Amino acid sequence: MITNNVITNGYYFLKKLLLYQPPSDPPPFVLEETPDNKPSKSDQVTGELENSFQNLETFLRYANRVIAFLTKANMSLSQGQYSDKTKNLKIEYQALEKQQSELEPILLAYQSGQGVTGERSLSTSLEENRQIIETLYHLPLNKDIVFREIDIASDPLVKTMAVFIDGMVDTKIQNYAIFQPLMLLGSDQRRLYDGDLVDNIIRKYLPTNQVQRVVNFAKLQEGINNGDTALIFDGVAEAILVNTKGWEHRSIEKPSTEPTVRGSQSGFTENLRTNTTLIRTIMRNSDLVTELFKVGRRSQTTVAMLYMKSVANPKLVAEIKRRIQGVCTDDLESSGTLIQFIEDHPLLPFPQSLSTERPDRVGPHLSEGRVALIVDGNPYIHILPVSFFTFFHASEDFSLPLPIANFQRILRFFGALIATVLPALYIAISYFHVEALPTQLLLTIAGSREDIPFPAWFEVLIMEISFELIREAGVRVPGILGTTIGIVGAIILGQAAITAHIVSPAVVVVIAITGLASFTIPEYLMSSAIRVVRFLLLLFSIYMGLVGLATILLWLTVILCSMKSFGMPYMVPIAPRTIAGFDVIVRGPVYSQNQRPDALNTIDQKRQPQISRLWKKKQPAEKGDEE
Amino acid sequence: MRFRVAVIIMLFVTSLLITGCNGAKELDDVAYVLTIGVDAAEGDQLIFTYEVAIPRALASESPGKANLKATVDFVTVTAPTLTEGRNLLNSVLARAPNLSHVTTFVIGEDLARKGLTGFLGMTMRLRTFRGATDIVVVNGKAKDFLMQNTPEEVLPSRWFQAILSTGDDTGYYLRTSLHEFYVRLKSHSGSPYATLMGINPLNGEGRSSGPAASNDNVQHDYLPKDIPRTGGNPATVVGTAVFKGDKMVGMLPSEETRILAMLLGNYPRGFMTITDPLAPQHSINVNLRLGRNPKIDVNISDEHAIISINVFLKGYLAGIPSGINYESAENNSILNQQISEMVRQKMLLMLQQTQELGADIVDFGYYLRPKYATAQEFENLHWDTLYPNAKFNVVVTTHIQLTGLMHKTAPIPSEKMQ
Repeated sequence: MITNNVITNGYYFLKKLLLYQPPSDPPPFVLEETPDNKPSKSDQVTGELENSFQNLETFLRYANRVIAFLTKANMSLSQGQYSDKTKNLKIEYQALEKQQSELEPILLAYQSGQGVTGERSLSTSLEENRQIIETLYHLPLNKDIVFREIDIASDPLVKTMAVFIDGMVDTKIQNYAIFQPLMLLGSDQRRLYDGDLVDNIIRKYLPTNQVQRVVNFAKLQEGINNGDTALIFDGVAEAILVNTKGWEHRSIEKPSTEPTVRGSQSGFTENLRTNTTLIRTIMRNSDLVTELFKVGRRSQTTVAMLYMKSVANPKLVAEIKRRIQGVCTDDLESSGTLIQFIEDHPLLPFPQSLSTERPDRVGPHLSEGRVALIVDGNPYIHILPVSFFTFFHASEDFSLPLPIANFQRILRFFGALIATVLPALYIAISYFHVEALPTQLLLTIAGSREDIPFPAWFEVLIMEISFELIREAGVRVPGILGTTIGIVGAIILGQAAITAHIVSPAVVVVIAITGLASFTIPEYLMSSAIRVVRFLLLLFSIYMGLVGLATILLWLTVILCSMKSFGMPYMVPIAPRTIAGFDVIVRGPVYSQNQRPDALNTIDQKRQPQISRLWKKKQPAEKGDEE
Repeated sequence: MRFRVAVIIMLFVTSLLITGCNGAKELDDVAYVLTIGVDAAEGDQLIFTYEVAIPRALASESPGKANLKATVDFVTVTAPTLTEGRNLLNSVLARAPNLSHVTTFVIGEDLARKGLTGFLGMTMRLRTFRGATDIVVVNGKAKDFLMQNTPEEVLPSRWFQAILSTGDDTGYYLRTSLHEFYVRLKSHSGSPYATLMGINPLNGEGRSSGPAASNDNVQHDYLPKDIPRTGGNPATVVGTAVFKGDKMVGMLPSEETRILAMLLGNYPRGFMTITDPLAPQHSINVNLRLGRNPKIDVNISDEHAIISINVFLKGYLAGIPSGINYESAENNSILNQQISEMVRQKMLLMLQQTQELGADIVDFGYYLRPKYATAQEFENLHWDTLYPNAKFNVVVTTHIQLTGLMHKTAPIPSEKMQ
């Protein structure tokens, strides 16, 4: 028998140290490719099964209603008295009859074939209507929709349901002009069911300026999405939309860190409900789902997750939900803190989600299939997942004419390049590769350095650090004074440093251009990340020249390409190479943005048809077309 | 895991330490040599004249001040080789000499006639110098030329760059880089040539050199020292130094250099003065350029090379002092013929001169090379012995297309002349 000796023990020890061992963590989340959109046969079968299941459920609810009615009728009739109650039974019976006619098999088959769409008409059954609205608004996922059930004082009581979106309605109007007259000011003497119920209520009991009668869910949805309160009555296949529009808008101010020349001028506020409403005013769609979570054991901070149900990849939504629910902490300071809790690489400087305070920036991203996270009490909304290139897109890029927007985009990328490498390049060339400079430039720089007692790398570091100090001071000092400090600091300090022969003019020029260039990057977090990288590049350039610069750039490439933003590769669509929409470095015309970003693997990849300008294919307006 | 991270960090640090990136020097710790002049000394020794920049002079506060100060310093050392010269320079200057900004090598005539082999090899081999560095030959001593060159430019090196790049405005001199010179030197067909520079005595005297065509009575063929001029920078650039092997054997004056440029397909444009064919006491000014690259064909028959040259010139009229209407079709063809004939004769004269020198500076051998299957066969031909006896068939066609801003020339009325 062979026993282990010193050599074999050493061998096994080294083997254990050096051999690859699979990581103990579970595999990371990677956004999977969506299969082709064609529904498979099994999907169709499940779809049919689901439809018939829903039909059966509808019948079951009807049956329950009939049983309840029968019990009631039995009770009433057994008393043997003809009273008002009997009359009420008649009304109820009529409603049941109406519902039965709705449940005619042919009609049902036709309607269920359509699925639950807005085209469907309202039912006489309150319960049925509620079910349909819940499906339309993806309840119970969606927390924005509120159902308020009331009984209108009358004989018999009219069971009513008010439906509205929280935050989009004016509660005062609602309370005083709808609920108060219907509930408190009514009396048992009223016979609302006599004649046309809806007409009765509109004419006599709703003191609001605008009301609208609707018969199908499409209109109903439109009204609710626009801030109306929908009143649905039991036994009537009609609803009333009452104008209660009134969302927060006065307290909204201009975005302070994301100014824009041509974009909208409203920014998010600290109030979560105001923020969701701001987004809803841009995306007026019942597909927009707001899910609410509580994060922070003690702070109990509300976190809202918004996405387009019919677009966003459900796996992505599930994963983000899983991560948010998996955060266990005492309190949540801001959206930035939450992101650090849930992002893939919290130790790297590069931002993995886009933070913005502009609703008009969130809207397009949501419709592209991304997810927005709002933390109550923080005006910065994070959009995820994003790719590296998103950070160089400004919100107004699509508002400006194509050549101008693209010029600005190229300028921004060029600015990012300068902001990253210029000081490092200056040091590398002046220390190691003087032959790369034109003779006269070289001699001018060398001449201006003659009086300077410090080595060039020290000059650059002094200037870099003072620039950072000025920037940081400008942020911390409140208001107008901040800009003043920036200007005074930059101009006076630079000039004085040159006059005092502490730094050479060339270095001041290099640092000033670098500083300016770093402000062309629209995303603050990205420009901060680039600033950190710049120092790293500078250190390596001091030591190794262009070799050092190249080494760090190579490492950066490796890191960036290996990063994932919530399962989506960070450098997409370059690494990995995917179908790139015409909106990566430069953007194409608006009418060519037909596909959603491929890497998001959305449910519906198509954004607009191939020919989005339909008027192009039609005859121009002629004489006689005027109205 | 921790062990593996430590190993990776150690490997990374080690790889940084072994890169050998330790040659960093502050910009102001280096002395930048801008031009090197090389002259022959006794024996194998060479005299190197280094033109060292003074950066402080360029960084003066007010822009005008820089011109008043000397921007360069001259150091002359005698050494056997370029590298030894640099070593000696290091002992003279406080800062480390850096030769990477040398843009021009100025070779003295005596050294050029003695041979450049030893010197050139080193310039090509060292990484410091680039193939694009210009090489010029000075009619006289390189040291004197550099010392007497007092350009308007802030830096003498800038003067060299500027004046060499404007050569294509006249074709009076051709820019030659170290690389081109070296390739010609090692080739089996052509001979090297270099830009000719010199110090003009500035006495306003001077005469045309070089043979003239039979129908040409305009004398304007100059070498640097022959240009009749006064004032300005005495340094003058005109003409070409002709080499046979590594030794300079002759000089081509300005007009002949222009003919050489035409044959090299390197003549962008230039004003040319020719004798008026109808009024020989006057001359006509035209601006000519190559209509296409010259068509050159070389054939060997009976151990003799026959070289056919077809040059097509295009251009426009610049001045007709005689007032004869050369814009008209018939006069135009007379003028075309006159120009063609003059250029043809001049070309033959220039080629004859190179044949006498035994230097094929046009590189006609290049056109013969494709007719041989292997390089060895071509080498066995010994083109350098064939060239001096080669026969030339020169056809020059001229087409004066444009008349400038004047449509028609009318003579001054005769009554006014009286």
